[in-house]
Amino acid sequence: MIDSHAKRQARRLLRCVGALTLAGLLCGSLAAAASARAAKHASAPKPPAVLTLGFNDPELFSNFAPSDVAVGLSNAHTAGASIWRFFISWSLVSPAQPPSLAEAADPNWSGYNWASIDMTVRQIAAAGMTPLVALASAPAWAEGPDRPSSTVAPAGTWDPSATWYGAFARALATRYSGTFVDPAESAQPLPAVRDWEAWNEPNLAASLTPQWTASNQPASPAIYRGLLNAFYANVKAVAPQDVVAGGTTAPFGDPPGGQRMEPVTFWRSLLCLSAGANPHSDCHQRVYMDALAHHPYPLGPPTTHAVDPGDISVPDLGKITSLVPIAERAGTLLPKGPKPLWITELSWDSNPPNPNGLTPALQAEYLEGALYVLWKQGVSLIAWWNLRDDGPTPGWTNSLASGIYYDGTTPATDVPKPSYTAFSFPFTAYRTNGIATLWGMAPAPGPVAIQVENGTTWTTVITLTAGASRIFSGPLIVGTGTNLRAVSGADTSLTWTAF
Amino acid sequence: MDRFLRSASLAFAAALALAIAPASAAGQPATGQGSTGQSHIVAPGDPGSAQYQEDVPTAAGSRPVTTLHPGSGTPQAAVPLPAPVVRTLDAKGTVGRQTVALAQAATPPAPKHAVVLRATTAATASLLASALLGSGGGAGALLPIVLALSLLIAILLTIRRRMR
Repeated sequence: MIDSHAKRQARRLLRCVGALTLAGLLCGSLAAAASARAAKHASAPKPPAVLTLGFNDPELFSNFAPSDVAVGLSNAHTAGASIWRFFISWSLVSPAQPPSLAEAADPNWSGYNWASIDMTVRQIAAAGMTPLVALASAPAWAEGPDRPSSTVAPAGTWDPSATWYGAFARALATRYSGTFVDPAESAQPLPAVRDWEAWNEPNLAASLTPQWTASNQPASPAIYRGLLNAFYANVKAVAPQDVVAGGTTAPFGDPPGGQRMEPVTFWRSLLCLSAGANPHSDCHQRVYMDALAHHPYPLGPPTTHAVDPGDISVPDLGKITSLVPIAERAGTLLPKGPKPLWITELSWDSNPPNPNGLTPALQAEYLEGALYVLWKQGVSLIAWWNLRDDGPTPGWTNSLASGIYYDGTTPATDVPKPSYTAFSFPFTAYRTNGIATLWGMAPAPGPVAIQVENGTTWTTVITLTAGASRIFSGPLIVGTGTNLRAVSGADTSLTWTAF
Repeated sequence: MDRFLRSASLAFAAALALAIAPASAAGQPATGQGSTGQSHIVAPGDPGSAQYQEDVPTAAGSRPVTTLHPGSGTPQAAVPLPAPVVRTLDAKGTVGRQTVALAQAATPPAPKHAVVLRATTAATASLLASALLGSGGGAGALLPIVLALSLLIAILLTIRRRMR
């Protein structure tokens, strides 16, 4: 029999043991969770020190005289753009087949039509920006055999010859190497192009065919691998310091056999990696690229994930970057080393002018939100689609009202939207668990005052510093609905409401 | 001891509920199962071209989700929705489907150190919950705690029975 005193002591002991065990378990679990989280983030790309911004806007060049184009480019540069992305159509420059591969690789071959490309590159450089060139659209003579009708395979897409593509890339890289004498200004060289993309959206049948084999296995990744490797080898042979981006994928796909391949399927096949939760090497083909490019068109706000696991929208870039170390270890992605992440197309339309667009204020908020969400995922270059709104088409299906300028008939009369401020002085304060992550890019390096709205006045609560990259960031605990803004010199960002 | 055991049991039950609920919810898709059709997802402001619209299979065939975001403020944190909730919301038409679509949104992680402008109890509780549950939608670090608690309670009950 146990007496009551012994019982009490035993109970006390049990309580102590229980409390200590619980405390130990709690501490251990928290430490394990922190460690797991740290390990998870260790492999994710870090936000880059520099975020380069720029534009696409094909209509600016196709619809306007050079003097108007110059105004548009100046507007872009003033807004903070330092790169300008444009397409070179292989078929337009080389409608006829060169007599030999040697002549195809020679920029002086008489069959090439370089005039409009020369003009574009000159104008971009004159505006203080650097060109980013995407080379796509094969001439008919360079397409593969057994071509189906153009409804199945649009012009310029059918199984293009990697050999001829590579030869043309060598001519292109030579012409825009920075040392090639400008035929129009013989005393000077043509400006250099240092940043390249091989093809454009190769996971779409609108761009590259066939997408699938007869048994609905991926076909386009292998075709694209050949094109990219030929492009890479030839550009690097001319200018080893140039940067060649691969992928350039569109964000959404269809089931096998459809017009669009899911970008995750495309990237895995391109990198010779298997499907499933733990991808591994399932072929031995190597692909070469210096940077990874993607077009994460949105599904709403910039933090909205794609619904389909195979699709990649704004916050889903980990689906690409997580494959890089696996492919590098497997030896299927070369050269080894850091791979900058480029977003070379992205947009939201505004209303006006597109009735299906966002309010101009929300378009601006989404734009700066996307810049932060992308930067946070490791993106170092973003080329927004459209400096100025396109001219309208029925339903706006083939044009975009996504500019940071309303179409004012000519670039000289264009009117900036709120998204102009969002682009030139982005400021965000995404709030998680009460803590807002302040982030932005000031128009110039220096102190940036973060202000909180208090009734009718704004009070500076913290001062951050924008470095040479113009980026500033810092945490701040704020309540829901707090209005914040950033002030740099005479410039003020848009107001960001923390929710 | 009885009070301790009662508290421990309650904590265990609450922890178990917390651990199971997010895990089961996360396992559910935000759209219907059974791919008998495709649903275009088109939010305001998205490119009008079909090649830049996401298609997801739905049980009800082609149903355009035309207004994902009504246009106010910054998106909210991810909320995984169980299938019955999705079905109920779907039945409510456009507004319901908007709610389902909005539940896909997520927010970036919080920084480690912050300047305190205004802190709230709710935020503190939320931070603790986040630390315990992790950010993946599952049980996170809570699962080993729940398992260990179960073991501890069983041991305590056994000892207590022997003491009687």
